[in-house]
Amino acid sequence: MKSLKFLLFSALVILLFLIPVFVDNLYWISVFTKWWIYILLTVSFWLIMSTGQVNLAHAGFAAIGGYISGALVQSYGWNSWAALPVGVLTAGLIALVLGYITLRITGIYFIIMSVALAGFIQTIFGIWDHPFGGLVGLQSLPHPDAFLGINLSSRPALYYLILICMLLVVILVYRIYYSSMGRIFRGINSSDRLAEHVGIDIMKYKVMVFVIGCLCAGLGGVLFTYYTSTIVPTSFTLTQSTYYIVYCAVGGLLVFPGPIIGTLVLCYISELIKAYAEYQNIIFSVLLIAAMLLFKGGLYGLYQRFINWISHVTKRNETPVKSI
Amino acid sequence: MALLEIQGLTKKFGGLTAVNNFDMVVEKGEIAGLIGPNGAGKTTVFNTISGIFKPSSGKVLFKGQDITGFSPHNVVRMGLVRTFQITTVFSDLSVLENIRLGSHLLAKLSFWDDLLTTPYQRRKEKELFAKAATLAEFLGLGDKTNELAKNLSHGHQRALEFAIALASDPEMVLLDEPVAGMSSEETQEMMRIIRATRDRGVTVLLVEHDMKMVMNICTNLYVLNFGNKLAEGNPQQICANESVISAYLGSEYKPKC
Amino acid sequence: MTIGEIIQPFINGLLIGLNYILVALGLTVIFSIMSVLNFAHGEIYMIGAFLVYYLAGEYHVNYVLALLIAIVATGILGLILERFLFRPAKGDILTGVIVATGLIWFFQTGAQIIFGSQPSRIYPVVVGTWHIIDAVIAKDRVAAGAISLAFLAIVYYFIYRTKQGKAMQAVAQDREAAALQGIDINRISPLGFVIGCALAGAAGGIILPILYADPYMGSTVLSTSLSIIILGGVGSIPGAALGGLILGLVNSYGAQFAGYISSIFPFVIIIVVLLFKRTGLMGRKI
Repeated sequence: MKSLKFLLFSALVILLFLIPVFVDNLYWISVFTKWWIYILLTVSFWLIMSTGQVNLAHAGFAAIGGYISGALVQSYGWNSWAALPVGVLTAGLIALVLGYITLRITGIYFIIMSVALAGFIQTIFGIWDHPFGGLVGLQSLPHPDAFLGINLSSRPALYYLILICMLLVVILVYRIYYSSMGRIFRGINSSDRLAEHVGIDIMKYKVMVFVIGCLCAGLGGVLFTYYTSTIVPTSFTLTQSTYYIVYCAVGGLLVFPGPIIGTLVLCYISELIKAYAEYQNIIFSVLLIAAMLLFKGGLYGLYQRFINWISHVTKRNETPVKSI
Repeated sequence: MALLEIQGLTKKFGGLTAVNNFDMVVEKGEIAGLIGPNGAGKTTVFNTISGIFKPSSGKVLFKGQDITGFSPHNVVRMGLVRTFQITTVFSDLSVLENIRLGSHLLAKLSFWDDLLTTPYQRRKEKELFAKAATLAEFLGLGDKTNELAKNLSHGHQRALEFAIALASDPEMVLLDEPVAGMSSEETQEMMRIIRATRDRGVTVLLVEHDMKMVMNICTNLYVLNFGNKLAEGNPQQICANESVISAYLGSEYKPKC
Repeated sequence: MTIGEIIQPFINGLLIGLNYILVALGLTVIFSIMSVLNFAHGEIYMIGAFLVYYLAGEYHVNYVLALLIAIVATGILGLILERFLFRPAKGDILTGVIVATGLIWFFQTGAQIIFGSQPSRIYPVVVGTWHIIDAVIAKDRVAAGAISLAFLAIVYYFIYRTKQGKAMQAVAQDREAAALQGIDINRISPLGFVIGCALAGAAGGIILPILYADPYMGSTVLSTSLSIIILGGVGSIPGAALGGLILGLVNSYGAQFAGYISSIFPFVIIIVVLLFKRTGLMGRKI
């Protein structure tokens, strides 16, 4: 079973790498690139959520990554490969400090705190014209500098860069979630009181997952600046964070493929109905409320139930044959 | 040897004194009982020992070390675990995962162990899941290892709670009303398990209202009333104690001797 | 600095603060009765504003009548939301957040499609200004403040003097004890939601002639309301009142002296209060 999963995953990865080879359409390559960024952000948000912390400031941490790296490159002339880790680590450092201070706060109060944090970050980047560009933000950011001689200014090159980053994050989250750490996170989510009483230092784990998630968010922010060459205060708002929740909820909150499926499905729908972009959110909101109240477990849950139903039905058909 | 010692424990909540100057000693190998009418402060004592509350004054010593004010996970580190009055399990996890989490401190897995699935990690997981399966058997949950905890009956959840507590190989376990809401068969079974646990070397301190059970299983009793220690002694002594009897008069839980 | 520069924001701050109190009160009532934080509360405010705009602006209905209709309509909306969306969520925080997100998107997008993204205004209902030394106080703001105050008085009377109101207080303090006393939670919950939403709708309708209606006004209002209830203490009515006035003053002086940066204050307040005194100024419960 395990090797089957690994095989499927490898096949999928190869497929993803081959897309720019077979798809000549630069527009679609761009769209997929955008999807990879969203998956990266949603999956890292989901990891934090597995301990029960709904980090509505997640997009804000992406903003930190993007703004710091963008400012270093544009206002201070840094090489983008030096700016990237600084941007990512800044997001992680702020998450570390904030984490220790705020993660003692739980439940709805944490959510409210993260809403305030999201607003704070969004507003603060709009204040200074230098180096963050004030309300106009950073415009005309350059392509990432060449990496090991590979030129990264073309759309396909960017596609590969972002795909690789996304896959790394996805693998990281997968490994963490399905290890004993992930079990600890789920335990904390289930009952943090009991978790402390089996010897789990819940602060340590909550901060750890928060920092890991925010580091990934920071990376997502930097990649975003490569993709759009801009970053403005309204790029990463509270609303953006709510998109991550929506993707998770629609795809399936409690299983790993959930956030990925939800992101892909909703992004695809969004692409399909581009002509009616105004109506997108209404459709999403209906899907969302249906997902929460009707088919719990999201799309993946539906898929699982379908599989169960099939095996049920086939078993029923088998029994008469066996009894002969 | 005194395993758990409580000296002058006082806990106030604003103007209310829930526990007042309480002293208690539990010897290694005992099954001790903390009893008293409803609201006497018994769970508050537990909460102060396990680290949920810091006492207003007084000390808690375990194995001779001062653990007063330790946070819960550090109390567990010392080898002292507890269960809760309201059944508390990891509801969204399976029985086996629940018990495995109880062994958290035995695993000592680092971030990299988990990320890279080192041989150490693989060995530990195998070992601790096997241990979890054994504990599940011991507590009558052997056939339910893959059930989600939230789908278990109340009695089975209680048993699971106990299994989780035992999974860390504790030296002492505090049981908060372990047989509340149980039928007499389930209570008999729990008593058997508690005795078997003691026989394996785990000291037990329990809070209970079921007097028949308490008188039967405990070697030493402490009686609390309105936060004050009313009496201490073995079951016969407590039964004969005038003040204990009058404290229970008017409450439904009369000591049955 | 002239006296006017000090007095004007003060008076305006108090007046707008009264409006804030209405919204925040609605939010805190819902939270203390249902234990669910309705993140879509700001959108109800927005709906109230748009309803009044639609009736008074497009159909020239009398403003007061339009306001009353909007209040009833948002109250009914609250009933529907409670029954079909929030009650099934059963106090699960995550579900509540997700459902609220869906509502926000639904209402915001709906408003945008129907009314467009540009602000919608109606003709002022009250015109003219008063002068106090060199401070200019717009009469319509005073009128808005007065109406807000009137509604606050009505709500105060309802909660503290009527049987239903006292039942609500009981539920807010201790659900189980209240149920044991025979109070029907399934009636009090919807009542709380109706009142909460009606308050938000009223506040939106009251602010419309002074400001405008636009599909995104809900999010700023939500941030301000969260700030108020955290500052004042979640579940506390006096806290919401105090918090509302403080925030009115903060925003008023902030806008006058600090400009763009002042929009950060509500967030800072939330963060600071949650870190240092989570119960806020006036602690728990109505």
